[in-house]
Amino acid sequence: MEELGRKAAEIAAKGIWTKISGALGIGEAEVEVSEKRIRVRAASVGKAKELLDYGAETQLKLLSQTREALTKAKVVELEDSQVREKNIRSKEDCDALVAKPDAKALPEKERLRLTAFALTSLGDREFHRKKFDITEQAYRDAYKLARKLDDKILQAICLNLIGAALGMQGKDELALPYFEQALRLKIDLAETWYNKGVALHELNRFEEAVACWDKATEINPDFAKAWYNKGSALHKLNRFEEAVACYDKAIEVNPDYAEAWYNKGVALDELNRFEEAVACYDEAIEINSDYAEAWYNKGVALHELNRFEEAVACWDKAIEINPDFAEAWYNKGVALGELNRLEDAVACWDKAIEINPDFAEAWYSKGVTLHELNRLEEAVACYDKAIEVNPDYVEAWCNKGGTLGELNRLEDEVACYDKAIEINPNFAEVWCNKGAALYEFNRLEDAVACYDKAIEIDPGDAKAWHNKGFALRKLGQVEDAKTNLKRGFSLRQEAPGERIIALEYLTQLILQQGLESITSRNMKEAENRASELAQLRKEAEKDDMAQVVNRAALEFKEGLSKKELKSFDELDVMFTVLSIEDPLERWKALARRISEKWPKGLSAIEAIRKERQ
Amino acid sequence: MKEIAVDSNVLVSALLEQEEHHHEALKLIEGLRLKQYLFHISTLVPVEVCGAILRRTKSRARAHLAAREMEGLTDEGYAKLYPLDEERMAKAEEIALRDGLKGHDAVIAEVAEELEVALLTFDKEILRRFRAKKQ
Repeated sequence: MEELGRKAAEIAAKGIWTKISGALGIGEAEVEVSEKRIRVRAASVGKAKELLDYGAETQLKLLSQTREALTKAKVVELEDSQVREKNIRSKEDCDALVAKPDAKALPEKERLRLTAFALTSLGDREFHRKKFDITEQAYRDAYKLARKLDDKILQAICLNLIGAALGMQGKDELALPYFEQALRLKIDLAETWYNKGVALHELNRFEEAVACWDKATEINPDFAKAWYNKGSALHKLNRFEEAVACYDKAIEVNPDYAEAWYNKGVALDELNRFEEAVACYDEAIEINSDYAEAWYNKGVALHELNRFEEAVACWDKAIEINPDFAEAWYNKGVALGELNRLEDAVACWDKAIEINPDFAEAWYSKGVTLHELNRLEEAVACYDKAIEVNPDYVEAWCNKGGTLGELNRLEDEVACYDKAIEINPNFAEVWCNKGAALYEFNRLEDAVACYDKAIEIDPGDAKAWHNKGFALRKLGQVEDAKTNLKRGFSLRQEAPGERIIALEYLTQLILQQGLESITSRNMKEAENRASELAQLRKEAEKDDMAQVVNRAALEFKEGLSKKELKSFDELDVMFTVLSIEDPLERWKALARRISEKWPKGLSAIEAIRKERQ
Repeated sequence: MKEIAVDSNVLVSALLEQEEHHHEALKLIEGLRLKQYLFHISTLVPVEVCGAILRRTKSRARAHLAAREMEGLTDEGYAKLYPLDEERMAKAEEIALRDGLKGHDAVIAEVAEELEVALLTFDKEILRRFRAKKQ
């Protein structure tokens, strides 16, 4: 019987079962192997072989040896006994079991062992009923018996079970020493390494958890859950590629592991491999069509791929499964917004808010959309709600400011930006917006200071460069204004509309300067301006925006007096000629422009002769 | 590379499409960049060319651009400028007296004579009178 315990424990240690709750037969044994359990019944060894899953060959050998031991020990037939989990309901049931005549006939040691098994079965039962305090006590009682028996393996199994029960009660710190003690008694208990990993993971000690699951999978490479959990920990450590590899392993062992497919999708999302992520979510959904989170995440991935209609369909499915899935309502709203179905989007956010009135992002998004729908007062109310939920919602403060500005409540607008800056002084956009508000107040120098701050935080903020340019122009600092506008334009960052405005403004600034130079007969300066404009148009050409320069020049021309028009034509000649880079072509272009103004019939020889008279 | 002293009318011709010698003059300008020629020019030439263009077209921009292009030729080494210093003035006086050239024409011709290169001008009167090496 001692041999039986040892072998059984060995089998357990191989990860086939964690407890003996099946029947142990005398004579020929039928072995049924599942992930966590081995049941032994009277049957032929050949039959047993048929029942074994791939990879359980080693266990079969062990069981064959066990069978011999069983025969010798003449252990009672327990197939139908109360050791089965469903029948052990209390400590009293355990006592009753060992009080049965068959058990009573056993030697003392074997009776103790039987009690220990019965206690672990009781623990398991309560475990499933989530009565973890009872579970823990049953395992502790079993452990006491294991110590009495001086059975190291059984002690290790019991310690593992106590640790697991503590873990389920959220006492992970307390659980760790139990797992460690179990592993000191028996180093190759895959289940214990696994459970220790879970406890460490719960304690956010992800690296150590990974090491434990490494051990578990080293002992049992088919330990799908250990692969899966290792993937989750690596994910938390932002090691997404490695996480994907672990999920793949888990899936290899168990292709129907829906959660592994799901989490693989999440990791692929992190790697921006959205198409592959969608395929993973599809697998998870195929295994479990009611997997709301998989539908939800598929929607998110499709949204990333700009497949908004399909994303909406996924979120609809997630909502169908779980009508209170606030995030799905929220995201559906976002996608509908992208599809310009603004009213529908607002309805979705309303639904999300109805489910979760503290859904700050939903209030915020609703505010943004109401703003777009020009329902400004309502938008402000939404931002207020978002701020009420999250007073540090800097974007909400920022957008509230912008909306108040449109309602001509400029003082309030600046106050909102100040609040946003107080929350996050490094939010370049807010500095930029504050600058724009101060510009409206004609506080130009203060506006420039705000734009400087925005640029200091984010030198790539084209809008700040542009706006600073506008403010400097108003301050009469034309050269600095142009420098800033050019910088902003070269960043190619702003929306086309904004860039066009900046380019038009810049063109007209240069033209204005050029015109002044022509009028004051400063031809070198006029040449510089014409060259500058030519260079600007060349830059604009790179973005197919040369026509913006031309159009701005035409508009500029339309506003000129007759006298100014003459100067403009002169500047235009310079601009046209200096736009040509090839020297000979430029010479020819100049010749064309001189020829058109040259008196008919007057030769070069005569003209020079006249010069020499 | 052929070195030539160039008169103002040649450059003006290169800048006038309707001019009889326009294509010929333009070829010379093209030839400069191909290093087929090197122009030697009195400082009087750019002044005359710009003045002529300004007065005839009444366009400062055009005149300025013409000056700019000529400056470009000297800056890039396709043409060399010769200022009218005392020595050259004395030499020009000699040529004017010797060949019966007008003062300005003599200044232009002086460069050709000083450098012993041909003078390129479309003005037949100058060609007829000037006795130095001729183009």
